[in-house]
Amino acid sequence: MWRLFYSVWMCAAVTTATAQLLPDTVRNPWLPTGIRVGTDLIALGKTFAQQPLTGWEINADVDFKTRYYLVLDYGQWGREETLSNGRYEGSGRYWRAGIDVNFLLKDPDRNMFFIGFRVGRAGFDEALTSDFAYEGFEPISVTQANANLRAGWGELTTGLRVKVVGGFWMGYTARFKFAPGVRGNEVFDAYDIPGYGRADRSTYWGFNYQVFWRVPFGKR
Amino acid sequence: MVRAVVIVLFFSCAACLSTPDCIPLSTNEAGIEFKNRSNQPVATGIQRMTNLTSGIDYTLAPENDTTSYVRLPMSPDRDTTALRFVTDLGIDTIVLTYTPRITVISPECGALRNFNNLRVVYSSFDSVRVINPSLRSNIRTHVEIVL
Repeated sequence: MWRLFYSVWMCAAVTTATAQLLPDTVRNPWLPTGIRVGTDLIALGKTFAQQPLTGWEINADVDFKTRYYLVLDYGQWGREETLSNGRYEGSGRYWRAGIDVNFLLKDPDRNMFFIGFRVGRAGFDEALTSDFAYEGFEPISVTQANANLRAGWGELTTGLRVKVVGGFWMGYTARFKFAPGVRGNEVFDAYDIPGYGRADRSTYWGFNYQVFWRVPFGKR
Repeated sequence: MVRAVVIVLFFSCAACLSTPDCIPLSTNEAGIEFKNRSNQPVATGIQRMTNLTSGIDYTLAPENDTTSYVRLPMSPDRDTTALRFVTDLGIDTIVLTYTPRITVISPECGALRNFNNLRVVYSSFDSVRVINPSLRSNIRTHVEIVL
């Protein structure tokens, strides 16, 4: 995992260093040139298909006159699972914030292939009812709840954004999520972190198919 | 060519899924080993063992007169279990506490209840020590009783 992390980080660092060596002929490079707002079709599809996982996610990025994009995601995530010996319910909200680095600077349509980094945070609640059988003892049914849990993690991302027509864009984001941490799970072990996935996994893959609408702030 | 690479990249990432592991090792049984002061197992004649908390008696299998190792269940609905041993050496009692904690593994594997933080809070034996505080089926000995 760390080898992959290191490789991607080195790639991003070299790209950044190269960009800094180029003469900066752009005036006000950090002046926002547009905002792109979209949503994740996979999350919506799962919700409409009544999968155990339901939710929605709003994605937004702000582009500048440079190769960098400021990214903010906000979403809701709920899971209701029937277990082999009980039932689990969890729901909460999450956000991610980070930077994307575009590698297709010369594309006239501003299509982008990017590598980025995100910091994710979530607040959520969980409830669990489970039955246990022990040889020689009466069966036990346990009902427990974890309230006001807090979680955080990091993400390395890559993906595409392609202009389809007018202000309509499509794309995907692949996420390598890592280093999850949960606070407040005093009662039972947290199972599912909104925006991340299973809490017991030190790394996790995520994938979003997204549609966007871009609103330009002015001509580039 | 570039479009082909993009399409391959686009769909190859859809395979990045993960499936949960299902290796249930949780148990409410504690492995108890009788040893001498030289840390060697000692075969002990045990007439009866009683879980005083739940009122359940256990005896050795008829073909075994003595043993140096027994595996006894902790009361799963409590966080304390008192065990009484009637042996050739007399009658002794130990009281163990533990923390049951639930972990959801997956929908198929369900939720497991692990018994952690095993501690001895009372013993009439000369010496009792916990060497593995988490009850797991793949761990042979959790408690050592030095006779």
